[in-house]
Amino acid sequence: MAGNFEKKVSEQMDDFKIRPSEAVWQKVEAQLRKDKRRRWFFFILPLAALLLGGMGYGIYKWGKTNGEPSLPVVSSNANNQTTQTPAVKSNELVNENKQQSNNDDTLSTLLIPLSIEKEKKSPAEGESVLVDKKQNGIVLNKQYIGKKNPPAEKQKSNSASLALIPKPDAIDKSKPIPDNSVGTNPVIISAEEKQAKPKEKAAVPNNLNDNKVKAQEKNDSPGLINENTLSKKTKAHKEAEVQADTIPQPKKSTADNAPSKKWKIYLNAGAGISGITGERIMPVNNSTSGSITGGPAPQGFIYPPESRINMGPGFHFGFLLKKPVDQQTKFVTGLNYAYAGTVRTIGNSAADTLQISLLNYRDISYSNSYLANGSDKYKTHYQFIELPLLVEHTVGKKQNWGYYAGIAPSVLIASNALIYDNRRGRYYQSNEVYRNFNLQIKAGMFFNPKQNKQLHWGPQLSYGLLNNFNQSVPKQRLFTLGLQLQWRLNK
Amino acid sequence: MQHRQLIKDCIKGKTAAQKELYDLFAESMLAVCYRYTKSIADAEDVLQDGFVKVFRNLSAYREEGELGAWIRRIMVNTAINFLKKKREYQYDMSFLNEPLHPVSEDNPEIKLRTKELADLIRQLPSGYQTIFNLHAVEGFTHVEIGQMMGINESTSRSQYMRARNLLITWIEKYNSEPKTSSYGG
Repeated sequence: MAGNFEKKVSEQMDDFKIRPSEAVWQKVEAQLRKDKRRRWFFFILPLAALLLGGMGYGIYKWGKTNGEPSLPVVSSNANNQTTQTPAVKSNELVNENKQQSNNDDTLSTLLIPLSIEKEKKSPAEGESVLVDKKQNGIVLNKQYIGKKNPPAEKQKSNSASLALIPKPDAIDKSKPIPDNSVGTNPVIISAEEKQAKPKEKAAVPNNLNDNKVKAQEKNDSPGLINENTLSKKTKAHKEAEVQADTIPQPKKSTADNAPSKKWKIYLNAGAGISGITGERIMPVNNSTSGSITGGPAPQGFIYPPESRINMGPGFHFGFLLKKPVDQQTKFVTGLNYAYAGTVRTIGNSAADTLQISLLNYRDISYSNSYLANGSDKYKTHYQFIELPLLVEHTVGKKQNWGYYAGIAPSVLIASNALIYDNRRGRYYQSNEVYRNFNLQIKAGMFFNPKQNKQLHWGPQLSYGLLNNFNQSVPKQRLFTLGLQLQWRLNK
Repeated sequence: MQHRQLIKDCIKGKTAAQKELYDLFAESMLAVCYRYTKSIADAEDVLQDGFVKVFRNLSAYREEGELGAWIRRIMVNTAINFLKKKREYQYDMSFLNEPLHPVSEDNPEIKLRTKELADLIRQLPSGYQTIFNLHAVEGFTHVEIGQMMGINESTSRSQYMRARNLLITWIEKYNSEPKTSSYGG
């Protein structure tokens, strides 16, 4: 203070008080309540969404059922006589020869799709490849495949143990063959499986086996078994199973399984939090990171370090185009608008205009700078247009989740980010110092809730590889972490 | 630390604690804001913004000085920001190069009441008013004032002298004017 005058003024002013109106506190309280709500929305909601998403996925995976469509079983003996057993589930093995399969334990029932079976090497002795035909819902010509040559006599006897269907020649060819006859999954049962004690056998109605034994007793030689000899129950059972059969779903060939090569269009949107990683500009005297300007510091005065940059909201929206490369992999591109926000503390604004020389020897002038010390919050935003170039990979049989990664060249379309000049203790804004082109790394996961192929959602991380500024200091990179939703528009 | 528990409760967001803190300092802070502005409505606006900043940044208070001094600093910064943003103050905030008013007494006796002195200070042009408040009343150095206002130290010094002399002139005039007497009887 200069002297007594200042002291007197100061002492008098210290005792000065004025009572504010009630409205002031009400407005302060309202603003604080608004701040609380905002904090919850921007920070708690994305975390809750991530947690719920993880739980939902975990529950979905845990509740996944095992089960495959039922397939009919048809067998034939080594003499190419076709037999048929009632349709059974593909993962159940027919206990056809329970009573007769005591000795040979080398063979087991194989359930092999026709398409794969057709690719097998030519059958060795005792083995045969099934040629599958289906007529009137009955699968014909399924043959046993065995690892060993079945004993002739046993083979002979075993063939009669199965219910046989008429040979193809005997079938009424005027009746149309169902469309799903081609590519039907055959159930290939080894010829010796009748003799072998099966390792895994599904239960077959006992009456069926009994009836087979009865049929065998009546007909010692292989050949047709007169269906009339079968009990009504067996017949009904057989018919029911054939009807209920899951007339087996034709297994698509490899060619059929190839994904459509059409581009799929998705709308996408995401929200989360953004932040900055990197260095802060320190005071001049012990500066380790230099300054935007190379000018001298004011003598005897050290300005504070650059203030911390706190996280803020981030969001993006746009569209994606996905093109399948193979069954599980897709190439993804598109166009997005992205917004990333941060918050920092600065001082009062200063109205003067100053000239500075940047480190690359360009001169710029800036006005509306902010002082170093203070408690004002400055909300920074970066707005980009991005071109994502990603590879997406789905995982699992049902392909209901996956992950993606790639890059996204981006163009900065607007920003109000501040640069700190530690030699003058000012924050200022200048378009000259922003890097206009950047390269983002993107990675994330996606889930299909309930195999809804139209809607994907999942977490995503985006990180800028290049410095936000085109100067050597400070080196600051932007990242965004949040949740993304994708909605498919076309089939 | 006198208000430690109160500060903790305010940081937690307890409304009752925030109200208590507000009641403790509102009257003296409004007086601070009043000295920087030209109307009580503007002063209350500054007070409202200032207290919102106080509660938002209370976690940053390090107990290195008195809480009142910390709040007062926030109020002053808020007032200066307010003055810069408000259009009607912007002309007055530009600094004038008027010649110094000659004063007969460098340290005159102040016979004004507190409010009268405050009102006299408020009658100064905004630029003078702000610098006078910052240096004479708040005790900031001219270097610090230069930082806060975005001006040079020398500008702050010269503007302060002009403000001081102008105020002293008014005080001397007030001191020399005959007082109205109340007659009794």
